[in-house]
Amino acid sequence: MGAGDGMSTPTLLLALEALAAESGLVGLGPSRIAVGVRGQREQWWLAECGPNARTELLEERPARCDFQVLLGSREAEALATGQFPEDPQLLLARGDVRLFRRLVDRLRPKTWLELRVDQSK
Amino acid sequence: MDKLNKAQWTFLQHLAVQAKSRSSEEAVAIALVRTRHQFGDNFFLSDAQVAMAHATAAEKMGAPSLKAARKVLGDRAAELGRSPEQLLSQVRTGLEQLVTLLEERAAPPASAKSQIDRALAYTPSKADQQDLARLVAAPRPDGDAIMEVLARSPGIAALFDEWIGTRETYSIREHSQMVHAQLLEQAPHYPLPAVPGVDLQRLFAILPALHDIGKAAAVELGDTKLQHGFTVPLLEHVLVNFGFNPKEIKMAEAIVEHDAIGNMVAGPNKDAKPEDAKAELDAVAAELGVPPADFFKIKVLFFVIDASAYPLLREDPEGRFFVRDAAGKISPKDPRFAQLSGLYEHGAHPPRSTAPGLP
Repeated sequence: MGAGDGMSTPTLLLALEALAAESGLVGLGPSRIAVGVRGQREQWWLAECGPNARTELLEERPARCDFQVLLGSREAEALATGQFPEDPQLLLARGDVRLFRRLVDRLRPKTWLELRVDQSK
Repeated sequence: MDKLNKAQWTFLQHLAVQAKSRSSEEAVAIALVRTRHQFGDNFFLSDAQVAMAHATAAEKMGAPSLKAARKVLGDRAAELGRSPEQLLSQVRTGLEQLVTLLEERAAPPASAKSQIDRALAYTPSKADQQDLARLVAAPRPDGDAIMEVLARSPGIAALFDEWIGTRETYSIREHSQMVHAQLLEQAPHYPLPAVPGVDLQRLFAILPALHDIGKAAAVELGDTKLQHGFTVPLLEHVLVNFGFNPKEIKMAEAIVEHDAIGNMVAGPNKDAKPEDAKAELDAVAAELGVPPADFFKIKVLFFVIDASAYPLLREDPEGRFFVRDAAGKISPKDPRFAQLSGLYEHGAHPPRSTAPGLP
């Protein structure tokens, strides 16, 4: 089964779980950020950033998020190939996009620790 | 994992605070400076790196689903004919495209008025209500903790960060913290009366956080005199949601909305008379069904903690605004304030009706 068939966990959400674990979410300000994919049912990835950071895969939309974005399964699949459509059919976002920007920046290849070392040189 | 020393934990705490409002780079730099300030210059970048690595490792240990996610992701990548690293790299690219698209679509920064609307649409959870009830009932209420519970409403959190619009550049959060600090300092000097049906201690614990909450919207419109039009509805909404009774809400509005004392001692009308201030205060007291002298005591405490919260006024080098007695009690210096107090102490004019057209 593939990324967006609506039954298994979407590739995007698994990748977010792996990327967040690699990059760490501790240094980000306290916030709840959720990414959802709607196939035959909705599945969500939740990141609680801040000192007690944690992530979670959920079967329903988490409450009280500072930022949340829901993609269609087609959009999520396209994203996972590095080709997010310019005119997505399903893209719903709510909240402060700056928080999502901080998270995405954090998930870049270099870890924040490496970035700090670079900054100090 | 090795244990961290006190300086490293302190560094992580500074980092967490700074990261709320700054880029990661700035946050690390400032956390480093502050830690060095406390622990000396022998706190090196390498100490900070160990602390950050510790925190990252602790996070990873707390992610039980990671191994499973990794395995499925590896299988998924193989299905697609890619390595897991390629797949993650493409996801990063896709995420960058997504967030860029969202940024392009995002509206300009929300106005303070829209944050008020957002706050008015927010309902606190049962846990929020319980937390706040516990905090405002404390003998020495923790102002920061109270604001933290209120800031669980994203609209209120945004309003706390707004500029208060005075000569001194403080956020509403900072000013509210200062007012709360003045409350803790000055309340023992200004005993509050007993008002049936109104728990004034509880009310005063929450008022510093909310008394200027709508000010930024008025600043946006260029007229801070409009602030009560924004503050009062939100104040009412919050107090209702946190279980304050109608009498307490009416009292809160009267405390925040009417500023007869401030207008007399600091208003544009230099000829404002204590008798006029008393008439205004007594009319509000009559509406509330509270003895005028009791309402005056309540208003004085709030005026003192609010006005003396501004360092510019409290610490004026010429001492033009406040006097502090040997016991630490702060009072307005304007002689009309003493005259107004005298009117209440010696009993005087009956309340003057404010209804237009009546004799």
